[in-house]
Amino acid sequence: MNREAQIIRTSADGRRCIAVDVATAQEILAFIGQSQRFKNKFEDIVNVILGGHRLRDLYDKEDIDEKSKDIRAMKFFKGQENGRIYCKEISIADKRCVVIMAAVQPKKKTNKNSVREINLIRSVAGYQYTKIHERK
Amino acid sequence: MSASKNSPKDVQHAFDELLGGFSEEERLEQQTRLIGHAFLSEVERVMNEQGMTRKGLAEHMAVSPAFVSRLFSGDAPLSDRHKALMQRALDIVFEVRARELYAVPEEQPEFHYPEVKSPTDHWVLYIKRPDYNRSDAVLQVSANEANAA
Repeated sequence: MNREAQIIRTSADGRRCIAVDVATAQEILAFIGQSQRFKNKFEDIVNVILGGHRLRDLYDKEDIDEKSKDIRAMKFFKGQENGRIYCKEISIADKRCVVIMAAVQPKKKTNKNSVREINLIRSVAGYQYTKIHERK
Repeated sequence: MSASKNSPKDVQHAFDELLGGFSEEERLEQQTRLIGHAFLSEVERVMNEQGMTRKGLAEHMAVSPAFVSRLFSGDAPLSDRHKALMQRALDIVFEVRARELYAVPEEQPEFHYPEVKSPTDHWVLYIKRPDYNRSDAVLQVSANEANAA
């Protein structure tokens, strides 16, 4: 499925970007904007990704099968709300790594992925980003 | 949802608006947490290398596994004491370097001292001191084995 993404943040060294799927942006905005606590957590996750750090409690692989190898999840309040933003990680021509936020799961209830979550991850894995809009 | 709401430009604007309202104090707190996350990122890497579980780390630190989980998920602040306990638990030392904010971090090449072949041979190592007082410096943290040369 061909889709578009908009870059919303770039690391200071220019090597990593955070983008959002234009079609699902409103849903993602509503999830992040539900409270100041969520906004702060989002900033923390973004800072960890752009800083090149690896913390699996905040951002980790969701490679449930061969086709989902480039899928990651931003994790909001593990052990509490346990929300997820599923992302697709891609490299673009100038070797920048772009993390595209694509789908939301407001509450993950069990450690194992539910059918809904598996379907969501597989959907995101199938997204083809044909246009990535630079930040202006 | 209107079509204009879905334009890339509007999406960028909506995110800027949502996340642009942090106060200076909140920004500073975010940076404080990020420094903690940089340490934890290194701790997680070393734990993977050593095969240490979070439960094992908690035992060595004399704290509960739930507390360790809260540290790693960023829901509890990482104090200097916790860092010291982690160093001890993993038998490592944290090394801290600073670089300019906009500099591209480079892998540090391993330095090999030239071989000294006779008693009269010698070498001189010149180390340029970085300017840590610059306001646009960021910290980089790495962890090494405590007994590494």
